[in-house]
Amino acid sequence: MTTRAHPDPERLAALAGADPDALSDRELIAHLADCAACDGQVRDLRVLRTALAELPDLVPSRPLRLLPPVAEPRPAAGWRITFRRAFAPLAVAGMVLVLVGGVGATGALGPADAGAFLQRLQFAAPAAPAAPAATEAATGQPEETAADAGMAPDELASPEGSRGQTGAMATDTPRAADASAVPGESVAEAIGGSDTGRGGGLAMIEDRAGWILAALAGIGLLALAVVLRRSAVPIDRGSSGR
Amino acid sequence: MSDPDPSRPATRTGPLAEEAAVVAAAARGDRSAFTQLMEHYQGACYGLAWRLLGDPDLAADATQDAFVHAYDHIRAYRGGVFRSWLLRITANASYDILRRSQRRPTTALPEPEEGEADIADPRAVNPVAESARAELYRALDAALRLLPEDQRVAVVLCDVYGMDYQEVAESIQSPIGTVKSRIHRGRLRLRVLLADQRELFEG
Repeated sequence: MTTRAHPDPERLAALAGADPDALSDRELIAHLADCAACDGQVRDLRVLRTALAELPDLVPSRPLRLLPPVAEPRPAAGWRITFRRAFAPLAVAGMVLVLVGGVGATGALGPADAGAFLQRLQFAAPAAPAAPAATEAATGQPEETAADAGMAPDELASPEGSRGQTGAMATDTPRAADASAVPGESVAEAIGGSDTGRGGGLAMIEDRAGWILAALAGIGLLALAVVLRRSAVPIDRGSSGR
Repeated sequence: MSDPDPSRPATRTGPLAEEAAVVAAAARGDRSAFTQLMEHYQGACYGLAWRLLGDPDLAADATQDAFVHAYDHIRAYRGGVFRSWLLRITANASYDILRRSQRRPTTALPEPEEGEADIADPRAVNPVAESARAELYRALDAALRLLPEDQRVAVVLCDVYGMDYQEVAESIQSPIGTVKSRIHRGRLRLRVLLADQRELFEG
């Protein structure tokens, strides 16, 4: 019989549960070898644990719903899946076309194009006696004269000056440049208010018809993509999806 | 603590035949496979929930919650013993309900002296019991219900359902040292509570 003090009962419970710390506690193991009371307690606890581990399962008190109440997704038809999968490429192509066509049509692709357009407006300004109302109606802004623009009449009247400033535009779009170079033409005329101006505006539209068509085609593709997207039900990604 | 109803004791559920294949099918979205798994393990889950919560309705709720969680996360199941995975989910669901119901702590119970265990009417736990083994199970469940809640939860998870310290600590969100202490004190108290029914353990 040992004369040492009994270990903390929790250490005995730990040993009964095969706690690694307790199993490696040599002092505790040595005490059990000498102490029948503590050893008996550990054996009781082991029997208790064995019985606890055998406790049976129980039958539920009420029928349980084994599956969450999830509505079965409608099966997606093959053509709908195809439509849905076509959405992304169509949408991307449409956006690209709208972007490129829009930028090209507004002249942002070539700074000289925009310069030519402004130049045309400035040429038209000085001698536009009957045009202010029409100009305001057409542009939403008061007419801007050449003087306002700070340009000399000679410079304005000079075809070279005009070409010098219009640069590539004058070369690329001779009809538009010619039409805009007529002194005394009003802004309204320049943008289509007179026969000559109307011819210039039409010429510009013709010149940029490709860009405009591209933008329109892009809008059409986007619309088609949206229609396809809405016509297709979500793809069934497995019945477990929630 | 109320009776489980019906209280006919079931055996401890073993693995399902071809369980790995059924689990894989359930993870792929096969609802019938999932149903098969839940049907097989509902007794285990409900038993754990009942032993943790002590109320048949709350236990059924916890089991139901566990099934929903399992359904949502079965794709994240990464092997191992499926029963253990499901029981951990059930333990978490039960403990959530336990915390919500604010039924803790039950520390007012006096520490019983050896031989003074008050195991009231074992039929309150398992009224239909015919074998000595069933009698032992009734006594164990009755003794468990007399433990302070924190000790009962720890002992049930560890000794009844075989979770290790780490798993218990994660389930009840407590430090491992605290978990160990609760388990050890719970075992000691159970031994005292069952001291005068020693013959049941010898059968």
